[in-house]
This record gives sequence, structure tokens and C-alpha cells, in this order.
Amino acid sequence: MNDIATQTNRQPAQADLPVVLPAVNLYERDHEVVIVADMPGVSDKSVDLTVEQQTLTISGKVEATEPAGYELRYREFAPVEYRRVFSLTSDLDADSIKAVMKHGVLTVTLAKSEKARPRKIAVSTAT
Amino acid sequence: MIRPMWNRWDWGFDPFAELRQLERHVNRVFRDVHGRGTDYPSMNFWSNENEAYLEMEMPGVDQNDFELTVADDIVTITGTRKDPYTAEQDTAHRQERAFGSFSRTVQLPYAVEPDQVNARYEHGVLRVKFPRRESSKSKRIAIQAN
Repeated sequence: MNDIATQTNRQPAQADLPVVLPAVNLYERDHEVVIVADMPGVSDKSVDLTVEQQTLTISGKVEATEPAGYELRYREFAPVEYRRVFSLTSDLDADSIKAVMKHGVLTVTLAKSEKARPRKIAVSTAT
Repeated sequence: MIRPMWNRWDWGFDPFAELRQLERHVNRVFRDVHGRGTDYPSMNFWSNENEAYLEMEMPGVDQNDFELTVADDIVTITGTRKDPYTAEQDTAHRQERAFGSFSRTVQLPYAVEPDQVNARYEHGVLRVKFPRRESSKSKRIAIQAN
């Protein structure tokens, strides 16, 4: 416990921010998969997405916004680096990836490949 | 969850600082185990002689869904975090993000000017600046001798 206390007490350097998992919701639609991640304090410029060998990594650093000329009274959250890795199944089209960052929430959309989409099969009546 | 109060000691040394820190860490451990709720968002708070400055972590809220009220030195921030994916609950593979209403009330070290409060919502963090009310500032009184 002492260890944790000294770690967070210190103002972390921007270079070695503590890495935390963002809270994520994952939805599946007929044609796509949607990943929604909470990353408060991360701007659209500092968010990073990489796809490598069926692995999607989302990450983003919170820019330190320590106001100058004030004395800190109370702290409940500190700058962190959000990072989470997802393994993509082969039925997802990694080239189709789209990402939107709004109000600290990252939304990633991945289209399913043509084969994986639900198809309607016409049923013919037997004669 | 144990809800920490602001300490109003302005004299630098807080005998309960260590205890409060421990409390926060314990709360954080349980919060991470049970999933992050929205009801009690995290805050940072700074002040100097003339201004108080507050940050609150609350991603994914429309700025119109916040309500900020100020009465003398009491600040209340309430709001609702709406889920835009309610129609897709049954196809959710993972749901770690919490939704619903939240509320926090904070006592500032002094009364502030409600008309001059400046609030901005940036990248999911609400940042509010409270200028101190002129009448609450301490004044230097000249002492006369006869």
C-alpha cells in the first residue's frame, strides 16, 4: 500500500505516465463492430491507433494541465496513459477502421468482411 | 463508498492527509473491481488567494447535460451521462462504461462571484474557474497610534 501511495503522490513525468485500461463497451452490429472507450483528458491529437497482425492497440496520453499559480488542495485523478489491446478476428476488415474522438470518448468502428455479414437466404418452395 | 470531504485547513499541514490518501487508494481499488460508476466523478481542486480552480473527469457528456450551481462557497455539479447505444444492449460483448446521473457538492475555501464563474468542457474534463468574491477577501487595516 505504501508503494502505491508514493507512486501516485509524486507528480508523474509526462514521459512515464502510469498506464491504465480505459473502460470499454463493445457492440456488434450486422455489418460492423464498435469499440467505445472512455479516455477523459485525451485529445483527438494525442490518441493513437495501431493495427498490426490482427491486433488493434488504442492508446492516448492525458496532457498535463496543471494550472500555474495555484496551490493543489485535493487530487482524485492524475494524468495517465490509456492503453488497451484487442485481438481482431479474421472476419473483420482492418482496412476499414474508422475512429472518432469526442468529449474524451474514443469510438472505433470496424467493418466485417463481406463473408462474415449476415445474408438472407431465399427459400424457395418445393414444387 | 467512503466519500471524502474537502479539508478547509488553509495552514498547509493536514494531520489527516495520509489517512485521506489511503482512503482514496482503497476507494480506487474497489472502484476498479466493481466497475467505474458515474455517480461520484473524480475531481481535482486548486486555489490561491483570488481564485479557485476545479477539474472533474466526466467523458462523453453533452455540455448541455451539465448543471453547475454556485451559492456563496458551495458548488454543486450535477448531470446525466446518456448512453447513445441503448438500442444495442443485446449485442454488447463488453459493457464497462457506466451511465446515469451524477452529483458532487464541494465547499470552496471562500465565497465566489457566481456571475464570473467560467466553465469549459474539454476532452471529457470539466474545468471551472471561480473568482473569489471581493467582500470575502481579507483586507489590511491600518493601525493608528496616538
